[in-house]
Parts: sequence; structure tokens; C-alpha cells
Amino acid sequence: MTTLSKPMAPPSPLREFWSYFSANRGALIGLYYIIFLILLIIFADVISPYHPYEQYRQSFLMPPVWEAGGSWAHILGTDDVGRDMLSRLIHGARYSMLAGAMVVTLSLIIGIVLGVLAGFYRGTFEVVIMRIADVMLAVPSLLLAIAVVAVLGPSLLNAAMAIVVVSMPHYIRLARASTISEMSKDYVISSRVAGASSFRLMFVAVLPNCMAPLIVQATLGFSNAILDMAALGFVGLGAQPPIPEWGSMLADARQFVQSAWWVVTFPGVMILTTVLAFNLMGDGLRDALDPKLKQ
Amino acid sequence: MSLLDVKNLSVHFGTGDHPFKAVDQISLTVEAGEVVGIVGESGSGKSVSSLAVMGLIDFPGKVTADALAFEGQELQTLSENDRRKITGKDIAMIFQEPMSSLNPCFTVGDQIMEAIEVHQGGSRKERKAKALALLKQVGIPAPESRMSAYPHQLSGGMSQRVMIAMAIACDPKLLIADEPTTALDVTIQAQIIDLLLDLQRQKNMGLILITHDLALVAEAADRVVVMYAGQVVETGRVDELFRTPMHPYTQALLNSMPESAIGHKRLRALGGVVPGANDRPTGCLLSPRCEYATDRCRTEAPIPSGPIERQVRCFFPLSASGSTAA
Amino acid sequence: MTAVLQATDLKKHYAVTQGFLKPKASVKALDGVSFTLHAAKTLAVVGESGCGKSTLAKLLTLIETPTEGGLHFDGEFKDVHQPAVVKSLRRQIQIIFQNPYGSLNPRKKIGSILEEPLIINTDLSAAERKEKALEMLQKVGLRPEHYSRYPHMFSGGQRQRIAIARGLMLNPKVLIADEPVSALDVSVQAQVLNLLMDLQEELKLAYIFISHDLSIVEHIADEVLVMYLGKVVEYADKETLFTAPKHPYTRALLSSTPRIHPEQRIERIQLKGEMPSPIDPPTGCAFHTRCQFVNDRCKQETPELITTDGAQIACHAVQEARLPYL
Ligand SMILES: Nc1ncnc2c1ncn2[C@@H]1O[C@H](COP(=O)(O)OP(=O)(O)OP(=O)(O)O)[C@@H](O)[C@H]1O
Ligand SMILES: Nc1ncnc2c1ncn2[C@@H]1O[C@H](COP(=O)(O)OP(=O)(O)OP(=O)(O)O)[C@@H](O)[C@H]1O
Ligand code: SF4
Ligand code: SF4
Ligand SMILES: [Mg+2]
Ligand SMILES: [Mg+2]
Repeated sequence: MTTLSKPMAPPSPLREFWSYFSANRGALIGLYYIIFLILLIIFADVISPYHPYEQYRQSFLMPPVWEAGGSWAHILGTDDVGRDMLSRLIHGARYSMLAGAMVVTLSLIIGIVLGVLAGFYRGTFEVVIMRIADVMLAVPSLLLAIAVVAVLGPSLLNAAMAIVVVSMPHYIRLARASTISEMSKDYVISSRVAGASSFRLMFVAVLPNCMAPLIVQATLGFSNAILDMAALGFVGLGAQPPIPEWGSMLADARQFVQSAWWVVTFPGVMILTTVLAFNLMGDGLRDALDPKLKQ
Repeated sequence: MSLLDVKNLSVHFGTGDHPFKAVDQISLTVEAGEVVGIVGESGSGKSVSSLAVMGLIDFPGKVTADALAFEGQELQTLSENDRRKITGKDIAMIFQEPMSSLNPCFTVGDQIMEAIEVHQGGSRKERKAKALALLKQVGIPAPESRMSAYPHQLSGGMSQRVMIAMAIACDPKLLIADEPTTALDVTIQAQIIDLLLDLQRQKNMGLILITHDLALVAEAADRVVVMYAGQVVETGRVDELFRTPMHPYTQALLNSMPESAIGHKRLRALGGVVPGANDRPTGCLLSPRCEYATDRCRTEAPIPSGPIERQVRCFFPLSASGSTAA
Repeated sequence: MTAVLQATDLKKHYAVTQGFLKPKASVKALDGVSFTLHAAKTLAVVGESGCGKSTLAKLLTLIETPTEGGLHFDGEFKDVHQPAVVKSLRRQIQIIFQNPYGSLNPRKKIGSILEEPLIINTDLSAAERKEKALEMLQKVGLRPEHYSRYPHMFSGGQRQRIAIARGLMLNPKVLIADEPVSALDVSVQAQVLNLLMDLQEELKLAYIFISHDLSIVEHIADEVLVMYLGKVVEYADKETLFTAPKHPYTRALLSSTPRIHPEQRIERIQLKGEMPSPIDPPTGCAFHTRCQFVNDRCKQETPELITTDGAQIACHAVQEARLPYL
């Protein structure tokens, strides 16, 4: 008898992943919050009651609606030059999320390419790349980012570039470590025996098997990017006024901490919840992708 | 009184609506000075049953047994602490992967000395002397220099010797060896098995040798227990059981060995695989793979029958000629 | 009979660093191996872990280039340092591995695993590739619906079938099997061995079968190459080797292989110690540290591979006719 007959219902990898992921409440909440943010970004122009730059001279520092003196015209109040807080926050999500997405995509791509190359071509190339990465990791990331922006000049784009630079080493290290461990597996050797080119080996055979930890790192990196972005904005090296980036909104409103708590609190809360959502989702991803890694 | 007496031991894994019997009502006795081999394909429950005897099944696994007695002392009713005193000292276990069973952060000497300290105490000097003696006993060359070696500096065979040294450190009365040589070369396997049998004879230990290599059991054991999908399907003395297997599974395993096909081109393979958690058949668990299966086998589950020294779990045990009696 | 593959004096020396600031040492993983492989025949390579079996496989599949020595394929000399030659030879010499869990890319469906060699080496259309893959699946005893499943949904034996199917996608003439059944249960092992033998007959494949289990080798091989520390110690056809093993190492290997039936066991030669490190091999006969027939000549003079009674043997004692069992 040569035919093995054992029918089994194959659970698709995606469904398997979802069943693990959805078992994690925190991760789900994180995911829903992120979806909510994405919807906000897409429909920002439709949802937000006012233009984020428009100033309402009759109402400087108007408190939110439930405080004495608040009004339904500005639900979350207005800032020191009379701009609607809610509209600014909604548009701010665009900048924070887009900056995050850009930072993560760029640093992920560059990190993967360098890391996989280093893991594949061991030797001098690897040593050079890894030492540079080590040095970059040895400097506090914010300090390094500040230094980079100081060179490039303060702007939203330059701040994002600076964050790309500081977060790249993490991806390089991860990608290299996974590549090295995958390279020793027999399936890579059978691809080589089949005549696969180096490019095919690296990016078709090996890379998909290294993605799980990288995806997790990328999710967590997203929240880091938003935080760093806010921090750069706060010290005035990120988005320049009047752009409603959450970090710079915080910075602009510093002097009103005592008198008008809402101008400071709301951007802070947005940063906090967004970062939290990404972290929760990252943890959930890690757990959900892990059983597959062990397989 | 037997050294180890297990009656109807079961281990369940899984949750309420999906219970999975990894071990299903197995009974087993081991006498002092006896070597009992447990054989069966991967997933037949060999390791889980030995872990259950050691009390090492963690939540959510559930262990039940009518009796689980060591030297007449029922283990299930003991407190966790009292039980550990017995299972650590009088019952010892060695595992398949010698490399990963040793702690990579400590030297070989430290690890053996720790094993001695837990159960016997003694001053550091005494323990060190004892550890050295143990290393010598398990045939490690230049034991003095090996005391300060780390596990990664040892070969597979050497690590397994160290594991054996740790296992016999407290003079156990029963040693359970779970695939002790599967990761090793045949030449080293022969050395390790000889060492285990020597020690077993010297100390009059009971030895449970778990393996999927039937030939190894045929050479080393006195009695054999054949397991399939969590059940014991046949037990008996080594020579009888391998000469005239009575259970179709034992026969099929023997037939599929290259040794049984000398002079023939093809091997007589047993089709299919051991059923896992989700595809256990009704009736006899072997029925989908058994060449003698009848409708009765597919609906009704056989129970072990026959004299206590030669039990078979099959409706139609094979006669000496190798066909079913019915 | 035509020789498909012929290796002459293959050597592979690796340079290894021994630590900071220490000079590089040379590991002679393979040190002069020659053989001739005929169509539809199986050459088994046996020996302990680290004797260079996988290194030989890597040289033959051209994953690594030999330090010295050459290959003839179909009677023609092949310069393995030329990329074009390597590319054309690769289609002819394929490999399958021991670990059925590591040898298939976990993120790819069976279909794309099977088709990868075709994508790289041929310009068949997607539909033609799929047709070939389905045909091959059937040939190795799997079903068409397995085409779109992932490796983790298969048992070890099934994965090994997939690995075999992949190896055959380019219609090679030589298939190298590096311990293809060591990780499988006897029953499944028999299924896979039968499959390999069927395919050999059907496709006139030549096999290089790497194994440390001599009972399997006895069943499947036509010729056997026994290696020790990178060198061939005995090279003979199967009957000669198994009925009259001459080299002391071959004999030790054979006697260490467990056997079910007592009448098949031969007197045990217990080998002392382990195989020395290839970084610092013993002088003279590499086996002399463990050989019970060693004399002064063995310690100084390396024995040559000499044809004696139809077998090539590297041992002074055989030449001097001083072995008690011959
Ligand atoms: N912790 C656990 N939770 C759930 N199922 C388990 C657990 N441990 C073991 N099992 C299952 O119990 C069954 C028996 O496993 P066991 O390890 O005893 O097999 P074995 O006979 O030792 O096989 P092998 O030869 O591969 O070591 C298997 O189907 C296994 O999947
Ligand atoms: N890339 C390498 N660099 C240095 N040494 C190597 C390398 N590859 C193999 N070796 C050494 O060469 C020797 C032969 O290795 P090889 O893998 O061929 O052994 P093997 O016979 O296949 O063993 P096993 O049965 O364990 O698979 C070993 O001592 C090994 O450590
Ligand atoms: S009971 Fe029936 S199916 Fe089970 S082993 Fe016996 S003959 Fe085979
Ligand atoms: S040459 Fe000498 S040491 Fe080597 S195998 Fe022969 S007898 Fe033994
Ligand atoms: Mg086990
Ligand atoms: Mg190998």
C-alpha cells in the first residue's frame, strides 16, 4: 500500500492566526481602536466640525462643553488662538499616524534588506553593518534623533527621517538573527540544490519565515515612532505650527497647564491611547504568531 | 510485592468537550532487578505514561489510576512533598535529549553535586568525591577534568553518561530511561545500553526502557510492553513476544522491520499513522490499520485478556502460525 | 553497466578558527573518497556522526566545492568550478534530508514547494508546472488536494514523500538521501523505503543512501561505503560486506546494530571511546585509538585502500592476515 489516505480539514493559516489573536481581549481592543483611528484619518475632512487652522476670535481657550462656559459649538473647547480642539485632534491623527506609518515602512524595509544581507553574506559586510547598528543602539534614541534633526533642520519630514534612522538598528538585528537561524535549515539547502539564486534564497525562501518577529517589532515600532514624533514635536524639532501634530500641540499649550487643562490633556490622551493600542496589538500579534514559529 | 505496580493509569489532556486520553488504562508492574521495555510508535503515550508515574504531568493534564504503588506505598494519596521525596530519590529518570536536559550555565560537576545535595546532603568535599566516583562509574575518561566542563563541551554520548551519573547519584531503585539512545550513534548506543544494564545488575535496580527501536528492546529487556495510541496492546516475555507476536500490531511492527524482509525486495509496511487527538476511531483503535479487522472490531473495543504474564488486547489474537485464531 | 556518477579522491578541508588570536586549524571533513555509482543502483554510505557523510552529500550536490578531487557524470569529467557546469549538473543530482520538519519551507504551499525547481530551471508555463506537480504527488502516494496545503498539515512520513517528490521534479539521475528515514517510526519508515525502491525501479534512479542504520542499509543497498573520520575504510558490495565484514570498524558497527532475532546477532565488539575530532586526527590508522587489533605499525603508517577478496579495505591487519575472525 503506497497511498496514504487520511482526510483532514486544513485550517487556513489565516484562520488559525485569527483564532489565536481574537482570543486576546487586549489585542482586539487595540485593533479596534486602530481601525477607528484609521477611519478618522480617512474621513477627517468630513467628520471634523471645523477647519483645524480656522480661528474663532470670539472664543479663546473655551472649555469643553461639560465645563462651565463651554458650548456645543466647540465640544472639546478651543485653544489659545481660538481653534477648535476636536478638529485639530482629528487632523492630528493624520500626521501622527502617517508619520508612524512612514517611519515603520522605511525602517522596516531598509532594516530587512540590510539585516537579511548581513545574515546571508556573513563576514566583513556583516561585521561592518552590525557594528554600526551597535553604535547607534548605544546612543539614547531621542538624543540621536535630536542630533539628526539638528543637522537636517526642524520639520515634520526631517523628524520622521531621524526616527527612521534611530529605529532601523532594531530591525537590522532582528532580521539578521532570524536569517541566520533560517539559513541553517534544510529547506534552504534544498532550494540551493534546486539552483535558486541568492536573491531568491534571501527574499523568497528565507524572508517570509523571518517575518513574524519583524511584524511584531513593527507594530511596537509604530507606537515608538508616534512617541518619538511627539517628543520631537514637543521640543520644537518636529512639526512646525500651525500643523496640529499631537506632540507640537502639547508643546504649544505648555503654559496653559494650570489655566486650561483641556488644551494639554486631550493631545496627551490621544498619544497615550494610540501608543497603548499599538502595544496591545503588538503583544497579541506576538502571541498569535509564536505558536507558528515553534512549528 | 512489586517494585512498581500501576493499575489502570489514565492521563487526559484537553478540555471538557474535547477530552483526549493520551494514556488509556494502562497497567504495568516492574520487579526489582527487572528490565521492562516499552515500545510503540511516536505518539503512543510512552513518555506521558512515564511522566505520570513520576508525577510530572502538569495542568491541564489529569492523571487517574486505580493503583500507583511504589514498593507497596500508594503514591497518589501522598502529599506533594512526600511524593517528591520518593520520586526524586528512589525513582530516577533520564531523557532522550541529553544536551537539553543539562543546564548549560553550570558545570557538570556542579550539576551532579546538586543532585546529590538535594537528596543526601553531606559536606561539599564529600559530595565532590561522590560526584567524581559517579563520573568514573559511568565510564567518563579523565573525570577530574570533566568535572569543570560545561555541557556544551561534551559530546552527545558523554552528556548522556553525565545524565546517567546524575540519575544514579541517589541509588534509585527504579530507573526510567525515555529513549536514552535515540540521538546517539549505534556504537555509542551500544556503550550506553551496556552501561545501563551493568548498573542495573550491580544495583539490582528496576529499569524501564522506553524506545521505539524494537530490536534494542529485544536485546536489552526481560519483558516488553507494546503500546498503541495510549493503550497497552500486548505484554509478554521478550523471547516469546518477538518470536510469536499475538497482537496484530506487534506483528505488523515486526514485519515492517527490514530485518524481517531479508530475501524480499519490499518491506511489509503498516499503512497509516497513529491516530491523534482528533481522529481516534471507534471500536478497536487499530481497526483502520489492522489487516484482520472485522465489523466487530470497528464497533466494539477489545479489552486485555489472557494470562497475566501474556496479555493481549484483541478479539482475534494471532496463533503461533501468525494468523488469527478465529 | 554504465557509471552515472564517479567520484575520485574527493576532499573537503574546512578552515576553522580555534579562538581569539589562535591560528586557524584545518578540519579534514572529507579526506579522499572515491566511488562509482551505477544507474538504478544504491550506494549506501555509513559511519558515525561526524565522519563526513553530509559533507560528501554537499560536495556531490555541488553546494560546496571540493578542496581536491573530481567528478565524472555519465562518463564525462565535470569541472565543478564552472558555474555553467554546476547549473547543468544540479538538475541531475538532487537531495532529500533527514528531518522531515526542516526540509520543507513552512510558509509555502506544497504546490509551490514542488514547483520551485521548475521555476528556477525550466521555462514551463504555470499550468504545465502544476500538471507536473500533481503527477508527481500521485507518484509518491499523495493526493491532488494536498497540492494547496501547508507542510505543517502533514505527518512526518507524508512530508518525506513530499521531499522525495520535490527531489524528483527535475527528473534527476541521481538522488542523494541523507538519512531519509532516521526520524520516522518503523512502520512509516517501511512505507518510505518501499516508495524509494519503487521509484528506483520505475525511473532507473541511482541512490546515494546515507544512513547509520545498518539493518536498513542491508535491505536497500547494492554497495556499501563505510567511512571513518573522513576516509573510506571499507567499500564492498552488500553481500560481501554483510556476510563477511572484514575491517574491524565495519565489524564493530555491525555488531552494535541491535537485532530482533538472536540468530542474527554477531559477537559484540564493544568500541572504546568515541570518534576523535577531525581537527586533530590520530596518526597512522585513524581508527587505531579504538581498535582492539592495533599494533605499532597501525599507529605510524596510514593503511591504503587495497582490494582484498572483492572488497576495498584500509587495514594493516587484514593485509597481514592477523584478524582472528577472518
Ligand atoms: N502536555 C500535553 N498536552 C496535550 N497533549 C499531549 C501533551 N503531552 C503529550 N500529549 C499527547 O499525548 C500523546 C502521547 O504522547 P507521548 O509523548 O507520550 O508519545 P510517545 O509515545 O512518547 O512518542 P515519542 O516516541 O514521539 O516520544 C501524543 O498524541 C501527544 O500529542
Ligand atoms: N562548514 C564547516 N566548517 C567546519 N567544519 C565543518 C563544517 N561542516 C562540517 N564540518 C565538520 O566536518 C565533520 C564532518 O561533518 P558531517 O556533517 O559531514 O558529518 P556527518 O557524517 O554527516 O555526521 P552526522 O551523522 O552527525 O550527520 C564534522 O566534524 C563537522 O564538525
Ligand atoms: S481487535 Fe480487531 S482490529 Fe483490533 S487488533 Fe484485533 S483484529 Fe485488529
Ligand atoms: S590498521 Fe590497525 S588500527 Fe587500523 S583498523 Fe586495522 S588493525 Fe585496527
Ligand atoms: Mg516520547
Ligand atoms: Mg549528516
